[in-house]
Amino acid sequence: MCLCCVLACQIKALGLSDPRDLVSGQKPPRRLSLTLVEGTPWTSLCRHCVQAPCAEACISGSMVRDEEASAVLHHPETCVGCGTCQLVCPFNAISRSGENNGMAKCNLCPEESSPPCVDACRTGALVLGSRDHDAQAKKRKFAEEMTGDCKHG
Amino acid sequence: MVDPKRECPPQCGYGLLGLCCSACLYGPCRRSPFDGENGGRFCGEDSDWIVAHNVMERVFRESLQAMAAFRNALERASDRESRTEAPRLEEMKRLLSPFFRGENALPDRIYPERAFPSLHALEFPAGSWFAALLDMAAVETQTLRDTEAQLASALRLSAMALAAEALSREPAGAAPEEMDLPLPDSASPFLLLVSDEGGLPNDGREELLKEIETACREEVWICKLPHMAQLPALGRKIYDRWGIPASMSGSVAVVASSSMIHGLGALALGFSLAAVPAYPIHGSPRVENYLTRHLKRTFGHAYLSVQPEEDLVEQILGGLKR
Repeated sequence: MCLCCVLACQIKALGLSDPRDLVSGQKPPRRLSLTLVEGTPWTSLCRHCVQAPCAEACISGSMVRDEEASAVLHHPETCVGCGTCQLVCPFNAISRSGENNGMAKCNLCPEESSPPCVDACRTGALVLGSRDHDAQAKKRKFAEEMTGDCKHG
Repeated sequence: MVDPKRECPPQCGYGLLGLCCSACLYGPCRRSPFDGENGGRFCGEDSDWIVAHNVMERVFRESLQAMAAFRNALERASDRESRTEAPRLEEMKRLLSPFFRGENALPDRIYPERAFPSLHALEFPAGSWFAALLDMAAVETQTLRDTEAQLASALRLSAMALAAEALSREPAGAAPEEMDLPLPDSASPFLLLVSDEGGLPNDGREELLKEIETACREEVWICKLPHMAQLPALGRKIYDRWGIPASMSGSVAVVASSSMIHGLGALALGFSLAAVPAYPIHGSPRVENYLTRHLKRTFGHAYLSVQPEEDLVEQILGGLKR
């Protein structure tokens, strides 16, 4: 658990490109965090649910499920900071932001070609999958099993 | 066309800040720069201790390597006929003895107090360097929690390692004193450019040094040293020629080296330091404050902490004029 993704996310949230540019006292919002669950690193990160409870619960319409991007996007400019999304999120992926007292969550950094957390991960544990990433992986695995390529099948 | 983002993946942010700690077997631990005072993982150590400890550990390791190279050079000199006279060779051997606790005249000849007052203010050891290194290691591993004391030890050790490098070249015939070190007749701040041989190929340091040289050539006199081992001799020559120690000349050393002892050694000898690459100390405001503001206030020279967004040449020229 090297935590490089967490630092990369925090640095990006502060609008910096290098950690050495940090100024003492700056506090980033928590959009990604890691904890050990029975010895295994577990990310508290937005899963961009298809039926997102946060989007359904949001009273100001600032949490929106974007089908095209296959992501749940948070618009901080309209967020009133009621905290309902934080209560209903089953993945503990939403937190209160220090600035403007609104909420903060992972928006997949749409302005970047790939999110800094994914770039920072050296082991490939964090990847940015496409919409049907899991379904494709399952299909591939099933095909391998059928053709006898799978080592454990 | 090379994609720099693909070719050079982002470096470890904690490593850049000096906040990785492998001091105990529970580690390695990483301390977030956003953690408060109680953010330690198992031991509860704060970021100041972690950064200072990392600096010290690195300096210890590199100093030991320099001492080992010095010992090997002395052994080779003992086997065959050396240019160095026997009494001087004996003094050199005493510097490496872990048991010799007496005074040795050699350190004062390499670093005379009048030429290196800032180094002597840091209590540079007058006896065996190896004994001093062992003493510092013993104190460091016990209960030293004083960040400033740790950094002062790192500066002392770096100066010792530089002198060891200089002396280890002496028996082979490449005495730094004999090399030609040109200096202007009158005292003025100058820019010292040093790059060691241990750099990685294509790491960009030569290009950067050329860029600095081109940008500063009009503004300031530039001295290029082929090896860091010549630095003690240069410091002595500054005093002989100008009658002032290097720390009062207001000069800046740009040290492109993968060894921390080279840059910290230049800082200990009285030069302001611009290190390439920059040192991983930004994770601790206290460590950074000691190497920048505290040294500047106390001795007049300091480590130039250049942020990635800032222009290195501008900082160097600013450091020269200050």
